[in-house]
Amino acid sequence: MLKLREWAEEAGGGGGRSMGGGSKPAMSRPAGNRTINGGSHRSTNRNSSFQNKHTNTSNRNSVGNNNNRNNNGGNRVSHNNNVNRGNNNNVGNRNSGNRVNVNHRGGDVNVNINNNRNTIVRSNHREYHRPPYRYGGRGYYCYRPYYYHPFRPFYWGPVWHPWGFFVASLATTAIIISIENQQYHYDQGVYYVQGNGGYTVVQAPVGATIKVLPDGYQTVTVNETTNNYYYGGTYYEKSGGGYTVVPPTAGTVVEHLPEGAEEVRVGEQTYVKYGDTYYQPVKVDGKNQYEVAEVKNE
Amino acid sequence: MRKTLLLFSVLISFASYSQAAKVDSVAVLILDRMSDVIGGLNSCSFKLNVSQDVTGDIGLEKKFSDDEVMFKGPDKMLVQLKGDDNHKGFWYNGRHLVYYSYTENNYSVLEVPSTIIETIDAVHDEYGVDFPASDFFYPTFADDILADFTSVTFLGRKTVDGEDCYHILADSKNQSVQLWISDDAMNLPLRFLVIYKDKPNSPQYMGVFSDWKINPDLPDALFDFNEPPLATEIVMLKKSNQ
Repeated sequence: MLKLREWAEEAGGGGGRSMGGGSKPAMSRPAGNRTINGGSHRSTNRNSSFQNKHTNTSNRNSVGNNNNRNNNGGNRVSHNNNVNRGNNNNVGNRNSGNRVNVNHRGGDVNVNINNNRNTIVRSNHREYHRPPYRYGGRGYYCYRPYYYHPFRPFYWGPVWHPWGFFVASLATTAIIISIENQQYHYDQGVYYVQGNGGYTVVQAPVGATIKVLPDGYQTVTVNETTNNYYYGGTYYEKSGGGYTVVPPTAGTVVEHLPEGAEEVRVGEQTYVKYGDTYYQPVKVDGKNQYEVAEVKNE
Repeated sequence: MRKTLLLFSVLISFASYSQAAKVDSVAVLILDRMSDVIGGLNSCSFKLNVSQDVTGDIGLEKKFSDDEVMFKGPDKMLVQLKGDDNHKGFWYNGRHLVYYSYTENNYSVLEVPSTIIETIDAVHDEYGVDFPASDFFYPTFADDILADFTSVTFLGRKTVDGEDCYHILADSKNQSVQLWISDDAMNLPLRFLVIYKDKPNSPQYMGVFSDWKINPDLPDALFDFNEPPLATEIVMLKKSNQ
């Protein structure tokens, strides 16, 4: 329909019709044109009868070629979702596969872990009674209405650390957990992997089982029959051997989200993204909380 | 209107091969005249009162917003949108565009092209943002109407809110657009109505222009965003990058 680039090339930079100013190629915008849209433009292949005669109707053919739109997408810089926080730990690319890349303070330490994602949302079998928020061919499903409140990272105490945090040594209470040939060190709700002369905090691996929940955990309702236990952004389910790390379930409501989560504008709504999970800000019983959103391709 | 034109441009193009458009030459002359006037402006500002039907939890809901738009050619734009449940603004200074939510006190900075129209296009395509009445500011507005609708008809001179105007109807299988263009020296748009015929319950979008200012002296600083106290910068997700 609107062929900015084609039109600019057609105009060849003359006639005062080209786009003005800026850093674009000179052919499309001679200096001096300061109009808001470069000047109006009419197709040269219009049937001349309706320009010169006041007849009631005229035929207009071959409009199909006018429907292409050229967008200058290549010039734009995309924002990535890297998280930069004040503690100099740089956690990035969390949504590219199952890999967590951690760049430690000096920038010369990298720990790459193939991790079991614990932030990919599981469906809840309850039916949604409200339409999803739609953006970019996806529907963001929630059980509760959107209610924005600013995100403030929550800290679960001095022994809790966010993803990417590096420590030189662990407490003697740390235990070793092996999941899919990857060895983790677990201590008081935090999972570490060893490397580069110390230990780096990573996502809790799905399937890891601990005997005792960390102090400060909360019980959260998944549905009428199931509860989860929530601590530091990680969900646990009771299992035979204790409590097992599980992904979040859609519709689950939590009060706090950890450092490493970040606000993301999705169309006209602001979600908090933590790993691969989108949390919708909601208000429940008068309290600001976050509901796990289910994102579906539509 | 812009969004709808985009959505149906492909469908119309297929239809047009087998069916010639019925075009009223008077309507085309008026549209061309309006486009020529707008295309000759170095700056302008206007207000737009919008009422639109949106799908809510139960059915169609009527939403209202009072918008204000300022353009300074070729690369500056300020848009303020104050709706019944959302208040936001856009600042474009030729280098980047800032989307600020007054309601949430957060903002996103977008890298965009170097002219107003290219920026409107890019932000619409990449982020789904619709700027109020932006269709009227495309230099090929008349051609776009002719390309996207199967009939364009002049419905006569009318008086709306005490102003003499021309009434034009552009119609296609999927949507119907009515335009009221002032019958004076400037021939600027006064109002427009879009009816989405292909959607359930045929929702409508109506915009009423007011307070047109032609070539006002707008200082460049107006188009620079100043971060409000305690505002946070957040990433804005592209439609194609989730």
